[in-house]
Amino acid sequence: MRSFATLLWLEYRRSRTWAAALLGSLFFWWWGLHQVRVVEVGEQLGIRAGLLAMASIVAIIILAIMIGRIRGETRGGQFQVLLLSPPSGYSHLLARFTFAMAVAFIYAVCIGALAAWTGSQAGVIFAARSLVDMMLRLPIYVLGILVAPILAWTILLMVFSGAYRVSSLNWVPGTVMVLATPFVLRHLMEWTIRAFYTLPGWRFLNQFALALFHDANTDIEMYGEIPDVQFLFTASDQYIGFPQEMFWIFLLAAAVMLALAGRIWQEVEA
Amino acid sequence: MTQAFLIFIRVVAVGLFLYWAYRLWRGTHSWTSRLLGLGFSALLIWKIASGNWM
Amino acid sequence: MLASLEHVTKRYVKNEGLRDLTLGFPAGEVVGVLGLNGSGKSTLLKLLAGLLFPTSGRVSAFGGLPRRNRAKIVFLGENDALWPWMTPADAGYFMRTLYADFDSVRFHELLRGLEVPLRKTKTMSKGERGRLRLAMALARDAKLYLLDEPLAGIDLISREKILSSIVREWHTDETILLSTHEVAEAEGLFERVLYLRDGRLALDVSAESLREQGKSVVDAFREVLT
Repeated sequence: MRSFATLLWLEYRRSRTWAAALLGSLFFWWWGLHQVRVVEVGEQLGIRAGLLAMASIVAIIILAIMIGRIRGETRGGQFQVLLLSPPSGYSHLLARFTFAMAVAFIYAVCIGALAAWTGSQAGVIFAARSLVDMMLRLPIYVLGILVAPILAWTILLMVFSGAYRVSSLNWVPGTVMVLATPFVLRHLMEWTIRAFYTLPGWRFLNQFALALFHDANTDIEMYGEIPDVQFLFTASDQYIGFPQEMFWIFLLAAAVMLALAGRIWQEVEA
Repeated sequence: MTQAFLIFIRVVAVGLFLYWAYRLWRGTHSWTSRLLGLGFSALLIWKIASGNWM
Repeated sequence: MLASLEHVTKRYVKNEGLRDLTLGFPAGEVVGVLGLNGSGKSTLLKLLAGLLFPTSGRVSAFGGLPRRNRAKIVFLGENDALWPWMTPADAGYFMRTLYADFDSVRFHELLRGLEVPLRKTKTMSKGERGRLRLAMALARDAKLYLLDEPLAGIDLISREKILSSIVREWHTDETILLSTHEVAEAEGLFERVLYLRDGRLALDVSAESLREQGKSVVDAFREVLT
């Protein structure tokens, strides 16, 4: 436990500039949201939603780079220090993953707050429960289905390709993994979709929908007519919620990737 | 013409992945890496050979 | 044998680091690993540390794979290996919490003796960083020390301090393998000398038998490797 705390401390010290820059960028996105001065409410909401989506994508990319960077540390010799230290590969990688997920969680909560503000600017009155959903439950859901698997995949790629970079295999393991990933993902998604709603859906954000119905702003009600997003805008007894199978399956996939990476850590050469 | 070219590409790709699978089998140190490397290679070979990569 | 290599070959992507090397290292030896650039010195030490794996053959330390026994091995690599933001206090915390055999009191004595400044490593000179890394290494109570060019690019005063610290801290049951280009300065340390050439063992000789022949380690270096 003590060594894990040290590894977490090391990860914080290694990556705190990246984390600070990422969290600091939220001010930039907040400023960007303020700059959207389109008169038509629906269009304003759409542009702001696009900015928030971009903020999320950029954050995932930056987190993946933060967690996966080892070239500089391999040249500088720091990576050798980690490889030869007594804690297991599982500890090392879990520390890296934990720090990145903590930063991702804080960022996601802030994005949720920005999303709530964006909605309120369009005239939506949020119930307290839907604020909690926007800023906590939905971020946790997104972390589970998207961020955790991507970061775990990045760690596995870093370790698998690092294990054989100096040997005759060179770039083959990394290339094979990158090429095969879309196919693995496709099959995983197919199996996951088949399992949808085997368990009860997670009904968060339905109060958001109810808040919309209570609002007399006709521009917002128009969004209720777009077919793809209609499920968010139905009355609460018809609303089945988000599929929790996706959360658990993708979280399990992340755990499996981390376990494999921890096992392969023993083979990394530097 | 396009069909023939695609078939040629598929044959070359399957050959390449088979070669990489062989190198991964010979060059990896543990069963974990071996299974991972061969698993990915097998998936790629299956997808390209069956024409089901789209 | 504390550590051994049996018919070890290490092939990289484009070249061979070592070819069919067989060596044994009993406890309590101080061994010099000498050779020209690219002769395989670092490869040998990294294989024994568990940082590299042999393409063929077997490397063992403490009866098993070196990587599995990494807690008993000290490896001091050629690279700086410290994070730029680290201070000696950070380094001490890092070592103390991760290594059961790390002696904090000895670490601080070594820092004082080697005159290591108490500031971030990015503000230190190469010599100061080298001395800090040596203090971290010698403050551990391991049985196998692998020092890969600890004197490289370091000023004369720092080199003398490093060498005298190694001499002072060595215990008779510890094995030290030290690779260096500063052959004349370090030869007084060695009981045994390995000369590597193009990844092969050119000569494995005790310092005493060299002296009986009226030769120094430097003389043998010139004879064997040029």
